[in-house]
This record gives sequence, C-alpha cells and structure tokens, in this order.
Amino acid sequence: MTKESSLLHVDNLHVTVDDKPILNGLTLTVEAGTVHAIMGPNGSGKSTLSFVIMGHPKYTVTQGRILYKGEDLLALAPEERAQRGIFLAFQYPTAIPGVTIANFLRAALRGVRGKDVPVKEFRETVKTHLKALGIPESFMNRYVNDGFSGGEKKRLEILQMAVLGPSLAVLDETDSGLDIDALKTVAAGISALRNPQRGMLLITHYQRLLNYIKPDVVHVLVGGRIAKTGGPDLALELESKGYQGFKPATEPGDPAELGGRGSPIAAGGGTVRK
Amino acid sequence: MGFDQAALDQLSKELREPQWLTALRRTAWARHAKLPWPHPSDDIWRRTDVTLLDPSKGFAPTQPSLLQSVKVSDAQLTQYMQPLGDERLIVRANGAWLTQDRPRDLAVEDLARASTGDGRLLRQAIEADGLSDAEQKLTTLNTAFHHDDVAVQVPAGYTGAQTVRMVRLFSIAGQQAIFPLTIITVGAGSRLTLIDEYVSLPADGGAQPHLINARIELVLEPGAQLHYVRLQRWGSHAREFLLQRATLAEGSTLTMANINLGAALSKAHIVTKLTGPNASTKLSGFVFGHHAQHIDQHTLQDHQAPNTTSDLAFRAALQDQSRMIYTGLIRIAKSAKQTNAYQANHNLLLSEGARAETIPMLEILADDVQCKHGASIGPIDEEQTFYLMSRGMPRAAAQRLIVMGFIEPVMQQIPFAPLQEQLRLEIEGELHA
Repeated sequence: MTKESSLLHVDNLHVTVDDKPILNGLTLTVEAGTVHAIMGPNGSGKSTLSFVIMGHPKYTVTQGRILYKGEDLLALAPEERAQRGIFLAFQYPTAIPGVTIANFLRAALRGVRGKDVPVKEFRETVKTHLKALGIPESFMNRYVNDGFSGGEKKRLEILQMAVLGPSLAVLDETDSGLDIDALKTVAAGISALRNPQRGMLLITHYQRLLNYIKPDVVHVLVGGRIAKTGGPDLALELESKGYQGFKPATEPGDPAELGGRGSPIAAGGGTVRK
Repeated sequence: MGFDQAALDQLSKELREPQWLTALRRTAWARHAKLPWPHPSDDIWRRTDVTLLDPSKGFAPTQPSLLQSVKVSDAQLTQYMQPLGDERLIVRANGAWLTQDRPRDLAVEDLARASTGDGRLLRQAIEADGLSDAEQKLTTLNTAFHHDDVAVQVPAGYTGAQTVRMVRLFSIAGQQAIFPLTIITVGAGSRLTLIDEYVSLPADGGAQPHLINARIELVLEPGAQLHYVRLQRWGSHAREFLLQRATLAEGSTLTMANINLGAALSKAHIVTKLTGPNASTKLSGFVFGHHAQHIDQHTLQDHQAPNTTSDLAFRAALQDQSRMIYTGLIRIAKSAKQTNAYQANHNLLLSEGARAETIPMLEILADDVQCKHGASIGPIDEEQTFYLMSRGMPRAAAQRLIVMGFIEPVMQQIPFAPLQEQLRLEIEGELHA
C-alpha cells in the first residue's frame, strides 16, 4: 500500500505556535485497522500533532503535508475534516454551558453526516452506546462538560467517538486524570471501537493505557520528531527506562540519529503489525 | 395637543376614573415641572441621552379614544390570539379586551374600574416612594398621563396552577407617546405564574419614533409567591423608559425574568425592594441586541430587612451595532443583617460593531452579609468554537449553538415551557452567526 493512499500519512511536518517551532519534520503513516501509540515526554509535541490533524487555528504548518485517504488535509476546515471521518478526543474537553449533550450530539451527527438524523434513530443509537459505556441516560440532559469530573469528560469524548463512528480517531491523553476504574471503562470503550476500517492514534504520556489497549505500533516522539518506532514492547521499555536516551533526530530519515537503540525502524514507516 | 394640565384633565375625564387618581395625576405633573432632567454626571444616566425620552420634544399624547380608533389588523392580531400551550391567555389591543373569559378569580381589570372599590393597594403602589429625583422626572410623566392601564389583583390564598399570559398590543402612530401602567398585587400566601407581554406596532407603518413611558409595579404581600416574566416586544422605532418595581413583604418569593427583544432605545430601571424579613428573589434578564439598538438597564437590589436574599443574573447577546449598558446596584440597609445578595452580568459580543459596558455598584451598610458580584464582556470563545467545529459543525452553526447555550440559563427561569421554546426559535432565527 502506498503512503499516498494510507488512512493517514504525515510527511515531514513542521509546525510552529506563535513562531516557536514545535514539530520539526514529523513523519508517520497509519493504516486502516491499526492502532498506533505515540509516547513522549512533556513538551515533545504530542498535543500539537493532535491539534494540527484536527485543524486548530493556533498552529501554523510551515513545511510538510498531511494526507488523509490521499487527500490534502491541511486545505480543509476543522468541520470538513470531521465530516470526512476524523475525530479528536481532546485532552482537555471544552465546556459548552447551556448546551445539553443531547442537543450537542444531535448537532454533531447532523454536521458529520450533512443531514438531519431522525429522532428515533438518534435516540436508539445513543442509548446503545450509553449502555455499552455504563453511562446513565440522565447524562444526556447535562450541559456539555460543564462541571464534569475528569472521568466524566473522558467518557463523553468516547461516547462522541462511538456515536460519530470516525475512520481515524486521535485520542489525546485520554488516560490522563483517570482513576483505575475509570481508566478500565474508558479503555474498554476504546477497544470496543477497534475495527478493520478504523485507525487510531493513541497519544499518551504513560504506558498504563497500553496495558488495556494493545497497540500495533509504538512511536516515541522527542523534540518534535519520531525518535523511534517499534512494537508494543517499546512501550514497556520506555516504562522501565524513561525517555532519557531518546534524543531528537536532527535530520528526518537519517537512521544514524534515530534513537540509537538497535536497528531503528524508519520513522514514518509505522506499519508494523503484530 | 401637547403635554399640559389641560391634556391631563381631558384624559382623566375620558377615563371616568375616581377622584384620587386624578389628584395623583395633578400632583405628579406639578412635581415633574419642578424636577430637573437627569444629569450626565450621574453614572446611572451618563450613557443615554435622556432628551430622547422627553415627550415635550415633538411628541403628542395619545388620547384613549384616538388609540382605540386605530385598528390593529386581523393578521397582526391572529398571531397573538393563539395560546402557546395550556395557558390562560388574556389579550388587550389598544385599550380593549379581545379575550372574553377574563379570569374572575384573579380580577384582571382596567385600572379605572379596579380603583373604584377599595383601591388601597393600588393607590399605595402608585404612590410608593423611594425613587431618586432622576427616576421621578420620568415616572411622574407616567403618573400624570397613564392610560390603558391594567390591574391584576390576586386574592390572598390563590393557588391556581395555570399560567396566565397577558398580551398587550399597542398600535401607535409616529411621534405619539403612550404611558401604560400595570399594577399586579399578589395577596398573602397566594401563588401565581404570570407572563406579561408588550407589543407595539407602528400604526402608520412609518419610520417615525414612538415613545413609551411604562411603569410596572409588583406588590407581594406576606408569603406570596410570584413567577413573573416581562417580555418586551416593542416595535423597532420605539423609545422606552421603564420603571419596573417589585416590593416584597415578609416571606414572599419572586422569580422574575425580563426578556428584552425590541425597541430602538430602552432605558429600564428594574428595582426589587425586599421590605420584609425572609423575602427572597431570583432575577434574570436577557437582552437580545440587534441593529443599532441602545439598551440601558439599571437594576437595584434593595435589601431593607434582615435575612433577605437576592440573586440576579442578567445576560446580553449583542449583534450588529447594538449597544448595552448595565449598571447594577446592591444596597443593603443597616438593619438588613444576614442578607445574601448576588449580582452577575454577562455580555456576549456577536459582532465587531457591538459594544457593552457593565458597572457594578455596592452600598453595604450592614455587617454580617454575603455579597458577591461578577461581570464579563467578550466575543464568542474560540476554543468552544473549535471544539464544536471538530465535531463537524460549520463555524456559524457552532457559534449559534454557543449563543443558545449562553441564553439558556435565562430561558430556564421562564416557568412556561412553550414560551421558552418560542423564544429559542425566535432568537436563533434572528442570529446572523
């Protein structure tokens, strides 16, 4: 499969925020049906990558490209990206006071599908997913993320993902701020959404989410570049040894600079399957 | 005809009202002549040109007979003659009742008729003092020239569960002035939900301004519970001065929502006097500013007795070139110990040209009180917009949803779901975003 027709192909991406470089030549390919984990220390550019994929206006792409199913993603507005099947689970979901989750989800589904969804169908879809995620139906009458606990916010992100059914889901630190029970529920919700058509990018600081969702590929992001790519074992290695020893690659695609642990897999060739 | 003693006497003759009402008119007119117009050095009046509210500047009083001779077209009426839900609908157009079955148990009447019996409460309400000289300069005009007045007198112990919705339509020619007065008294221990809706239609279809000097007095007797909604739908060429005042006796509860949709210019003073211990009030307001509207609202939470509570939350969503000025005073008298007062004012600017100002004022003379205020002015939050856009909503749809969420806390204070729904649809339909 060529990178051009992959689900997601990030190619030599350079991104700045307020003229400060954050991503410095990041290359990454995600195929449908695979789960990639991106791990990295604070400030390595993990959240930047997720926001750039979704089209946040604060981030400026200075070089490189992102292709989604062969299409130039950077030319699209955020809602067009969502309409094409991209979903971002936010690390810090935004509160929308006064807007009920029911109204919000309905508007989101209308936005993604480009047409109104019959009330009955909507109710049944939502009901099924609420049940699967162990969320009471009264949740639907609450205002979006308004006064929510960390766990409730993350659950709502997963509920949205389930209802909207994206082709590419980017989950930005969905495990952060969760106690162990909430983590298990959320992880089960994510695992249930794995399927051969869907690709996932799990952005995480810690390995613990990966105890519940086994990724196909693990990338280490340091200094705005992929420093190493490997299988699930790489996550365990990171857990025991930390991020020290992964220095940022100076030139993308220069194997000599990639991490220096054994034979590196070319960053961007992240199609390893287990 | 201009504004003078002769016009006033002619008016009271036509209305065939009791003597005491005429005497009050004359006293008010004399007082008006003595008082100066509010000065811009007063913070509460600085931002609105009060000469625009002066009827002697080119306006003529509308005689009751003249007002009634102006036809309100069937098309204009039909939309207001339909109940929104299961409410008791009372419609009055140009001073004539259009609905036959006015509730007898509530005594909804013309003021002239209501005041022929024991008019004690009505008289007290009109005479009530405590207004500043500046306020009196404008309210004396209403006291002198009021007509097409309505008195709602709820007897003690009334507990009718049905919402009462009163719609008042005025068809007004350009350069004319009207002075509607509404007095609502809620008897001891009674409970009422009342929606008080005001509509003005240009009689000649022209673009000349018309002037409305309105007064609303709400009187809550001990233990009374009133849910009150004032819905302002004045025409787009209307200029309004409003004094709306609630007086709460011991243990009474007022939940109020002021919804301001119309008028070119509106200067409203919304006063809540907590005169008895344990009285409490929850006050909400929403202004939807559009076109070149100038809306200036002043609220006074006047705590005169111990253990009283007031919780005020006013919001404005402003688009086009509209302008909102809010000044809110919390006054706590020395005797009003263990009082809780809260005031919040939030303004959402929906266009580059919209402007808002908000000025909280506190005057606290008692110890052992809790008093908080908060205010904000700003455009729609970009992070909220991005969050919704990331869920497939185009920018405009995302921002509409955020604005509707902003309005929702006020809608929740309207104790009649069909009106909430009507207002949501109406406001959302008017949003440019």
